[in-house]
Amino acid sequence: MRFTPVLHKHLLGRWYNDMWKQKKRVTVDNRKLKQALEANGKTVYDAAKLFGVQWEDREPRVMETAVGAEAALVEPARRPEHHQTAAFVYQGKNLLLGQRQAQALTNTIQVGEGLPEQVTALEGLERIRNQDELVTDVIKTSLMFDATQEKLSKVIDVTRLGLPQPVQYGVPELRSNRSLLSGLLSLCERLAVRLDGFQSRLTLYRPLLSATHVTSDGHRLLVSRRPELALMADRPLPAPAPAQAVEASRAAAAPQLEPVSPFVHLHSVHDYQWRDVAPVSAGCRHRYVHTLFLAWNGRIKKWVDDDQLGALSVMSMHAAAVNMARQQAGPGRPAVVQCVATDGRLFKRSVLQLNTQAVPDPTSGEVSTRHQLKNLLWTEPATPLYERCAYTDGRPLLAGYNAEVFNRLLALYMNGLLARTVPDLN
Amino acid sequence: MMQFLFLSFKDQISFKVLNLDKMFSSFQHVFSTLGLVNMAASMAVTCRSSALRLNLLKKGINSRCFATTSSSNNVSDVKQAGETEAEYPPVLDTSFKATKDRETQQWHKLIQSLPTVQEKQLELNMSRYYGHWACQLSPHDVHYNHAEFIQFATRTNVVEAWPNVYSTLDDEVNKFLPVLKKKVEDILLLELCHRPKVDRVESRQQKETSDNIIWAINHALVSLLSDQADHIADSQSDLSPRLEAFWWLSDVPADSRQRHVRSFRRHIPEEERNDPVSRPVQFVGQPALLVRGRLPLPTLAGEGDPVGHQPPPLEMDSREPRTRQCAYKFRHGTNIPGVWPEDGRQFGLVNWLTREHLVRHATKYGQHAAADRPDALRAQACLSGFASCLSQACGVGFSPLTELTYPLTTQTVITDGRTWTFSAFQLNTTGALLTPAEHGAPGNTCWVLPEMKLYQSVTEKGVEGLNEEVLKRLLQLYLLPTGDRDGIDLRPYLDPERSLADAVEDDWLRNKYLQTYFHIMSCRPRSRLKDEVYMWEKIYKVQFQTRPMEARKRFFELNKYPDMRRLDDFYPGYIPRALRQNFVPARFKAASKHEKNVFHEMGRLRGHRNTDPKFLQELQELESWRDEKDK
Repeated sequence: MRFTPVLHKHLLGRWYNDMWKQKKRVTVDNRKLKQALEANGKTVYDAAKLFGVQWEDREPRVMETAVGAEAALVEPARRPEHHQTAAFVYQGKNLLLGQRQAQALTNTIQVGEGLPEQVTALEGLERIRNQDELVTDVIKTSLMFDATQEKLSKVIDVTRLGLPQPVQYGVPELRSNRSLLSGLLSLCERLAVRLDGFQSRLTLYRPLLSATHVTSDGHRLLVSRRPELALMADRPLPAPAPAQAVEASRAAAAPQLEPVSPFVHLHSVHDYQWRDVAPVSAGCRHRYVHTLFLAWNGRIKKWVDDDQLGALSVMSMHAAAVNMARQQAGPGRPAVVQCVATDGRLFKRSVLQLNTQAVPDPTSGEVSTRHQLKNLLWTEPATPLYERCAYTDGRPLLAGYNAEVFNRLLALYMNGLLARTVPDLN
Repeated sequence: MMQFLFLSFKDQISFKVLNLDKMFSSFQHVFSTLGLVNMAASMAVTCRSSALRLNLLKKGINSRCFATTSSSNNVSDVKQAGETEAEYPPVLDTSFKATKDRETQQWHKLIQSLPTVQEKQLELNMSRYYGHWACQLSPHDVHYNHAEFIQFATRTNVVEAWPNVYSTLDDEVNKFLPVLKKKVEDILLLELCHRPKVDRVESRQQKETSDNIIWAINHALVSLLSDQADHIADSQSDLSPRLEAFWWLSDVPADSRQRHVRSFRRHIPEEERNDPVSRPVQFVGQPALLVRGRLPLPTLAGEGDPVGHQPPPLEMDSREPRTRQCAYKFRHGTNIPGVWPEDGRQFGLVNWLTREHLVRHATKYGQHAAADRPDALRAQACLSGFASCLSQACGVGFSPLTELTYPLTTQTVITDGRTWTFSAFQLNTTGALLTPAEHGAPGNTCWVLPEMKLYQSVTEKGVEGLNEEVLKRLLQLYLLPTGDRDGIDLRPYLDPERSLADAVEDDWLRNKYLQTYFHIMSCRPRSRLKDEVYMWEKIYKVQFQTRPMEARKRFFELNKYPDMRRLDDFYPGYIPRALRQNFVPARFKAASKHEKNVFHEMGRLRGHRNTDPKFLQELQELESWRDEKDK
């Protein structure tokens, strides 16, 4: 076999490294020598005492673990992100028990079916020039014509177990989803000039977003997920639900997951950054999150469906709304956030109205938030933007294009932009 | 064969001169029809050889019947005798160098005649299974004093000014300027003051901030101008697209290995051993953002404009890329303007580049970095502009071996959010890269403006010292309208009637060829790596023959050259027995164990070069063109 760098790294390099790690801890064990000398009547002095040298303690042996081996080698107390208290962390890659668990975690109830009327009333009001042609071009470019060729994650073909699995190259899903969302948002933004909202909107690429919660029994919950895009506005969205409806939410119950805890499937870790991170700081003119654009970027795509996209939407919208509410620093109006979540084909719209920041306890679950205010969620089933978009038999093919989806995105974008949907700030 | 023909006709050669003349011309016609072009050409040459003349003179035949075209007066004398005029083939130089040149020209013509972009790009790589040994260039590896080499490698002349075309846009620019100014202030405030930092490493954080600002400003410009400018409304923006360009660079000095090899070649005269060579060059880049459109930008400098057609500077210390810290690597040549050829928007409008490499540049060159920074930016602008133009030229059917029929243009912005450099590039020729660099020969042109600051400082109170000049330049780039080139065919070397999607009816062939194209363009490593001579073999087998009794099984003992392996030289995939077709005739049973060779099948479909009448006609045109040029 050729002695290639890869081979060296795989075999000998690893062996050298292992030997180096072992040898560095080996010390000369002179106990037998001392015994032999003393048996012969020789006096053995301790060198450290004789010369007055203070030996440094040897490094404590740290067991390497399969997960986070490098981090485990560092003493926990020295790691900057280490905390004594464990926290439940949601980073968007966890598969929750669907939207029900996300609602239970965020103390949210769903209001009827579909989106609020103030959004649905805007559907079909405006169109951009050559709309369908431009949208289909964005889809084709993002999913087919992008020339990026990267090594993709290996998908195990169960029919070929024991045989070499093919190495796939192509456009990573994360990249194609971002291109798709970016292209569609760019088309939506063309309405801004026409509707006199050019200066009131700004878009953010890959904003940071993180929200912390402490439950009433002292447990910590951290939601940290970077959206692909965020549309920011200079004024908040109007609340879809009136004050009476908010007050009536006390009587409703958030989804119950008994006998399991609503915190099931969340990782409990000690290494995390315990801080709230809003996309922009409170002093910014465009500090209100208008719409979050999310793309599923986990590897387990085959289990992702309408329910999982809903869970992702609820958790991210809740984090953004909590940050907005905390930036207001006082009992302000309800924070409202919109969201578009996609896996590249399905598009799901949601709207969340945050009325309370309270979250349930991991132990008692829904009981801990009973008779309190609930957050309100409007959502609609995920709709496919197209049925198939790929090279088929050597020909580019876009089949089953659904023009209605982009009209709905336009309606989300226009919410708060048209004069009649802008709230009266006075 | 020629000798056989000559001997068989020797006894009959006493007939009249004009009959012999007819005989040779008829043989040449037969050879040409059969596709044996070289045979037909060499026949004429052989007939002028001294041995033949001697034999013919013995037979009393005047040598004027074998005269070349230059002796047409003699033929006209014969014509006066009432016979038809003989048509002689052009006289070809049969020296090694001339023959190689002729083969190369034929290959260039073949690439030009291929009807699709995919076939042209695969044909560029057809001669090397493991890829070309190409000099690797990157916009982010800018070395000290790098601009002069980049200008040589792209045959570009740099003009420190701004094209006059943009001055016609002043009214529109002033119309949009106030709106854009307010928007840019908001973007800068948000990105620089109100957005949390992500990365602790300076260059990575700078890259992140630059990307965010570029993305936001581009979105703002597109949404602002889409109602007014149709070409912007129809454009598309790509984030971090794949921009790659591949070409052959002539006039690179031969290295010691090349000279050593040449010393063993008897057909290379001693005075030609130090001649410069052509080297493949591969550019691999990833701009932060690329705006593409359906139609090309206008020409920035017409044919009569002397500014746009100046010769590039050729005085430099060394033209060898390795002395410029540019490494060579085996890699397939790729020309990719961000998208595959099926996308309708192949023409680049604006290239957005970042400056984070200047952080490394400053670390690397210390106190000298500041003085070299304009040079580094010039190199970056030239290289990216050239690569963008060349790749979009390949996307519309040209190639690095095919001369352009109209100039191509692109625009480049290099920025980190605060410091901005604007440039415009016009690709006038790709032929200059293939021919020796001559003083005075016009090349390509790059207009570069000096660095400009967009603002003095950004605090939470606001933006101080916003420079409107930067925004005006930015608006100019986006407002420059695209359009047709006054009746010039934008894709002259593509044949829509013979496209892969429509003209190839075989599903397997169409799908396989496209997958092969993607496979080669992805530049993934081959499943079986290239053969190599191990160090011990070089010592004990190559340099010193110490193992004469050992069986000669290694490739270098069997006269096999992995570097010379062609792309279509491979065993196609094995088909398990269960998946083979039910009925296979006995004579095809062995062949049916494997798939068909996709390149051979496509070659069969498109027609072999020696049987393709279109190719033969082009070849004839080429030879007549060369004759005229020689005259």
